Amino acid sequence: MRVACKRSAGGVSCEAAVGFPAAENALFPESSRMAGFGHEAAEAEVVDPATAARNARYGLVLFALYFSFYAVFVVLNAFQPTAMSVTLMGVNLAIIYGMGLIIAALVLALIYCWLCRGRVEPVSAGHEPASGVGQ
Amino acid sequence: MIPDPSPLAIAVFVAITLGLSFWFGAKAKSAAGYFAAGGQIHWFVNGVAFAGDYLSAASFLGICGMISLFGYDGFLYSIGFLAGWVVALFVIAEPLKRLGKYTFADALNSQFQSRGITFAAGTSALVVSVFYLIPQMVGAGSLIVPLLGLAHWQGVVIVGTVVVLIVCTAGMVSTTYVQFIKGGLLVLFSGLLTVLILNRGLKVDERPEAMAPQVVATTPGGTKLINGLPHGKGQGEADLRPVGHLSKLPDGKKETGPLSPREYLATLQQSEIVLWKSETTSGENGKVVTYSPVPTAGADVLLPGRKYTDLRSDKLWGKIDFVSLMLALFCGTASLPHVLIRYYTVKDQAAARLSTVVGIATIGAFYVLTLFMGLGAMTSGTIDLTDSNMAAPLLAKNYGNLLFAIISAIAFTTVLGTVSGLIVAASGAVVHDLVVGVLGIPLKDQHKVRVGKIAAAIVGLIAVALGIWFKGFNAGFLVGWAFSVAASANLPALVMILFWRGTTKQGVTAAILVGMFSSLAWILVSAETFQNVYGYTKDQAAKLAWVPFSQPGLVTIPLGFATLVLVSLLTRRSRIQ
Repeated sequence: MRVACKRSAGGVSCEAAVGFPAAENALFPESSRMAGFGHEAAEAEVVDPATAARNARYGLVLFALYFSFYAVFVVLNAFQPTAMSVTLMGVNLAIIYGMGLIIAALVLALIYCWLCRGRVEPVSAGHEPASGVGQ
Repeated sequence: MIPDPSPLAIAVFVAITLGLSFWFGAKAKSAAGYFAAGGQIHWFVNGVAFAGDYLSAASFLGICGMISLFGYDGFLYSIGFLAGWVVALFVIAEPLKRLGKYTFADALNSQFQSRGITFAAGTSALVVSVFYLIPQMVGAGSLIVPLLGLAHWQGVVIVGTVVVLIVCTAGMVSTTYVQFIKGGLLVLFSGLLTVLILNRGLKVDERPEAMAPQVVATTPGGTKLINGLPHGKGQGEADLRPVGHLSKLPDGKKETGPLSPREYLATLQQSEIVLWKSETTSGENGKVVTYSPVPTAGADVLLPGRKYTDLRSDKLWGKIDFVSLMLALFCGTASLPHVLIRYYTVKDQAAARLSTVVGIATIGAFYVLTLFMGLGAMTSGTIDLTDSNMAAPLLAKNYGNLLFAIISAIAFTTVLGTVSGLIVAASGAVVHDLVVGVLGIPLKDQHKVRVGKIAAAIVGLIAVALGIWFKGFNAGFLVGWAFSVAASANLPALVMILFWRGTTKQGVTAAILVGMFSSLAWILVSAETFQNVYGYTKDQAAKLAWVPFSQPGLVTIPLGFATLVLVSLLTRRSRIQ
């Protein structure tokens, strides 16, 4: 809720924008009311199911990609550790692959952000979101 | 080691710590929400704050320490901790932001309004937060020892008190801005330290005393003898030397001069590094710990398998234990209550996405630096043999007391911030989920805040007690446990609610409780716990353990999913009605 306050010679007078009586304001000054504490904290976001479904789809594809990259790394370390000693430009595969995983996470994250920009125009009424994420 | 505090270090440390913490603490009192900052934090600030929250004692102290002692295996934690963010960004962030309002339980409950789910989710948030608090407290205690010259337990008590004060006066807005600044400073100064390490290059230490073994004997009466002399700093007394040096460089060189990051790693790979092993013998005359040098090929240090020795053997369970740990690290991040809560401090889904990307960039940069800081500590004679958590700050001390003080202060405030974030998350779970949601006690807003603060103080007290109890553990290792419990309890419920329409409220409740209790039980009866917590020797622990490997994730995460699917199928009719 929004409260407009005016400083005058007599002190501070407040007027709430959304039907909040001024008398009550005096009882509960701003500091004790903990504005934004309750569930009404953030403004409700307009959810567009088509966009949400598209984003979720991209997310899952990128997730699968990264998960495979990570899984191969873990399995190699566990069951084929000698493969990690292959050396390229003086640095072994263990370090190159590890750094690669860190860099890949950032690159995929940037790709995801780029893919998710903008909204999807709804195709037709009653469109079923592909992954069941939309509501 | 006996600390050697310098007045300059203490002054800088106290100024930075208190300045940061209370400046924002004071600023936040009036304005916005205690628990979720009113959803008004800018995504960039929130993203760096993610890093501030996430790069806790475990990352800065624990991982650097582990790399300095074992080489590459510590870096595996860095990789796993970062990879988890991919799950958070691609799978969890946006739907969670869409469904939830406030806590993790809200999101799970968005379509059910079930008291059972609220209870299970609130309890798991509380348990995971407390588990995650232990390593933070242990790390904070470790930092206080060399810096202020106090005992470990005193450090833990100080952290506990300051954090409870911060949490009780401030809340989520101040926590976010403090984390933003700390996250940024931590990465900047780690970068500076790495530049200094690379600029100094590598150097062989040929002094004969660098290779001398060290013996700590504790008599039955409790007297401590170091190399046969009483423990102390005075005349006729001795203290443990910090260790870690190179015994050979490639081509017989003695010193390399400045190196590029690639050259640094490549040179190290062809050098010989002196690592240290410890042996403990107990007898009638007390306990004797012998630390002896082991010259090791650099190529070996930079490969996996020095800590997870089973990786290089044929022991299948050991390998599975490792896979289980890496799975828990991967799945754990997106299930941590204090990470999830940060999705409610931004405006919308796009902001949630962008702040995760900023978080990944900041955290990723930091984890790349951990490798150089850990290896720098390993080769600069800055390892405290009795506490692996101090590698990074002691390395900074190598470059002067000022840098040491700044790095320690940042590390310490980072711990403070992470601990406050965790305590806010835990008290949020208590108030929203358990008191209001489960017990059904209606509370006015200001009463909620009051109950939240009381809960915060109690959680803080528990954390202090556990922090003292777990002294001497590596913080990174302890965080591994928190990740296992979080991933087992929270991830199945979260993912299935978002992606499977057949999920029922009974399924979610059962999955959280089964995942949480099974992973906790697994940890309590594992060989690692028998050895490190209950104090058995390695062989005894292996025999006593009830489970074939120590990390629960590989079993308990699928168990959570299976429970959810099974219970949901059994209770499906009740949902249709």
